[in-house]
Amino acid sequence: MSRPGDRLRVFAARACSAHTMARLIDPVIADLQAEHSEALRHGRIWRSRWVCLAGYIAFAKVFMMCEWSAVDDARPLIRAAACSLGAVALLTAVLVGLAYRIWLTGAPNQLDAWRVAMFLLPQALAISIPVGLMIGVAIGLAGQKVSVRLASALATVALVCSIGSVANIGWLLPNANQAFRIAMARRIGLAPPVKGDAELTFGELDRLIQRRGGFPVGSYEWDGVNRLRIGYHARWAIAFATFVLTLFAMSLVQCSRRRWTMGIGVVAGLFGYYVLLYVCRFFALNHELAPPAAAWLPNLILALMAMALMALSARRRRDREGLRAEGAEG
Amino acid sequence: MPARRPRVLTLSAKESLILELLVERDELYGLQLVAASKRKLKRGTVYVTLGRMEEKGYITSRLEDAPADMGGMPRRLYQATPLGRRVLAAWSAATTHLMPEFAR
Repeated sequence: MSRPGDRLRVFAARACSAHTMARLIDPVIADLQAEHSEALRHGRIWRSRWVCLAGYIAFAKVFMMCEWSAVDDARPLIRAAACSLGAVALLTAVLVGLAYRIWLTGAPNQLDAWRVAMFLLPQALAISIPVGLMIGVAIGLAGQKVSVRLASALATVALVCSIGSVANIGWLLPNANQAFRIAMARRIGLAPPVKGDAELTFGELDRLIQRRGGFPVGSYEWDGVNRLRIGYHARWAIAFATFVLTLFAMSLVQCSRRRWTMGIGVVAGLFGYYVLLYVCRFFALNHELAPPAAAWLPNLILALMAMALMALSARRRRDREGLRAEGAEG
Repeated sequence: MPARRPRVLTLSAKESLILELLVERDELYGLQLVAASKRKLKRGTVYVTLGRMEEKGYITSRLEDAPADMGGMPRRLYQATPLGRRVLAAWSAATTHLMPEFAR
């Protein structure tokens, strides 16, 4: 019979050294198992479940600390994280400030105007998180050697940000959009507007697509459903663009040592991504591309380019090392 | 070649608390330390602190003789070393003399 923590131990053994396992991971698991069996022996089922949960959280903390300290040098990771955070904050501030200037300058109550501008924060974050993370990683790691551990730590951060983006784009942003529209309508004395496509959450959009799914292909109504489908898949894909753009930035850092070539690569990657997004959307609106394919194709292309760049830089490094070894022998 | 820096013995607040508990009760498991500290130590961080203290030579550890009942993994018991005891004594004396307001 498997005991609590056995699988976690097997998982940790793949990533951690024998010393780390013996000194840090095993004591956590052993204490968890001992406490769990103690609770079961006294017939305290809820206590045993609580022990498992607390033990798993403790394991996650210890494991993360081990992984963090195992990154060859944590400084590049901290620098990349700080640069990304700075870039995201700056971009968000610029976007919200722009929105304020466009829609709310001259409002009689400035405090209320800023409160309304804050409804645009999720909209700004949807753009600033992928773009800021990409720029931050490129600036923070410029001229650094990206080890496998550093790359996997950054990829994990990017994945967590992508999951956060899903929550933002899927639920927070539509509600904030609608709140902004209502506030603006109230300012000019209009009735609150009904929700548009962009103001529907993932669940609402999905239900609407299901409800309208029965129209014949090519009809006017079917066009509307196709548009909804494109929007639905694009939201998922844009949320995961954070992960893909971060991978692309890491591949650029690995590939080029000169800052200006890396800068050009970052700008070209961002520009290319958004152009691809619009081109694919255009094809999907003309029924030449399926909505999921149109949404995910830019991500796929960028991810393939990142992998190709990484493979290229790995080959270059191997060649350099080979030449150096030959030189040493000669 | 630059001269190697002499090793400086440092003791954080958590480390001193762990040492105090180990000096007081001789040998403890990680979870016993958490319980004895009255929630001042957290189970997610105590093992990392213990690992660091072992590397510094303040404590030593061994696996318990008989595995826990119902076939669990053997637990790790921690004990203060003579160095750890001396560092704690020096730290306590320094705290009492220099910063009496922080002395426990």
